[in-house]
Amino acid sequence: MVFVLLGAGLVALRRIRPPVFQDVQGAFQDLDMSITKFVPDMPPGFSWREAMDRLKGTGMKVDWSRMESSLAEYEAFRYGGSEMPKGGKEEVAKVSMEIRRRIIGYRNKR
Amino acid sequence: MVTGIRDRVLAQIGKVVVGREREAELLLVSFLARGHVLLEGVPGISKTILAKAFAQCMGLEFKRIQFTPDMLPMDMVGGFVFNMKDREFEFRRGPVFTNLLLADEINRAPPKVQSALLEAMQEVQVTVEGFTQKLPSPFMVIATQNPQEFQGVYPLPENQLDRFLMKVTLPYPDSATESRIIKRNLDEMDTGEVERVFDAKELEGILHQVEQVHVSDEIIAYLSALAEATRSERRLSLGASPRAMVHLVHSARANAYLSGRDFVIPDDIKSVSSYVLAHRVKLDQSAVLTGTVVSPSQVVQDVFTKVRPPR
Repeated sequence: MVFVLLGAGLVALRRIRPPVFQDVQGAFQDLDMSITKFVPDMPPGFSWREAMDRLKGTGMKVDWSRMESSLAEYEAFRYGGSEMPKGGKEEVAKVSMEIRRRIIGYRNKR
Repeated sequence: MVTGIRDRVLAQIGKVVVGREREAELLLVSFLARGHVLLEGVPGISKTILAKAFAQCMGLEFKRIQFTPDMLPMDMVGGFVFNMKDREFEFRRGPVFTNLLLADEINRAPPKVQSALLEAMQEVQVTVEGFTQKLPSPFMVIATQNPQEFQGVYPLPENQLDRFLMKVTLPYPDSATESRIIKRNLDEMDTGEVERVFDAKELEGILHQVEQVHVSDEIIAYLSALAEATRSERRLSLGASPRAMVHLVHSARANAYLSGRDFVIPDDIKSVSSYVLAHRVKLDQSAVLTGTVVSPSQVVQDVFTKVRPPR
């Protein structure tokens, strides 16, 4: 019983631990998955900017100006053919983690 | 890349037109996309003054034609007149030979005149009795129509509507804006002179730069998916044409440029989609009768929420 509880606790911790990514593209892919999975009323056709606007209203403790500059650099890479930006993945990972933490916290409260 | 274009143009137009920032911005997007605009609204909501102010601040030659049911194509494109002195026919240019043509109340002109204008819009040239002459560049038509008129009008058919890059509906202003308009006219403060923002060379350079804005293959695939989604949408009997999608990508390019980017993102497409697509799609009558849909714009927006953009 103790081991089962310990195991469940570890799994829960793992789920809300900040994920580590090799590059910013991986971070954005993970954020895409988090939004798609944990924000059910977000329509499938959402764009990054629409998602940012929506998430800003939730009161997350995220530096949105840094997130916006990460997004601008990622867009230049994704749609503009620029080189992949080296930084910015930490802020994106933080948003992704915040989404999960909030959803898991909400589920636990219920 | 020239920056601050949007702010500079809106500041000038704002000197004479109150509360029409979005509409002015859409005119600018259409102009940079080398397209034409259909403005729809009841009389007295600043359609003409908006078009005129836009032409002034862009430094464009402006002409206005008031369309009437007894109009002939030659009243617009011009025609051959006999020169008594030289004893030969010479071509006399009509008002269509300008940079910005305001076609006021286009739906009051008979189909022959509408057709002549739409040919000019498409080909940027006119042909009279086998004689072809190019129109000035840049060339833009801003046509207006009143949605409340039913007597003595010739509604534009779908194939002609498709030639307009955008259809912009001007609603009544909200009460705060209306108060500002009334106050301004009472105080006679609306005499601010619209200043030219660009010279001809700068304008040509900007138009060239807009054409260089990058559109990735994934964005093109996204546009194709959107077109397909409008065609398979059961609430529509007519989906978006390939020309509609070409117009949409040009508008998105202009929007990206005005936002200071040299590449298109999905939001550029979304921000202009209703204005570019809504007048080209046709609602399915059964969907209208059962009340499952209110407007083409609503269906277009629904389609955009379903189709996944590249992320």
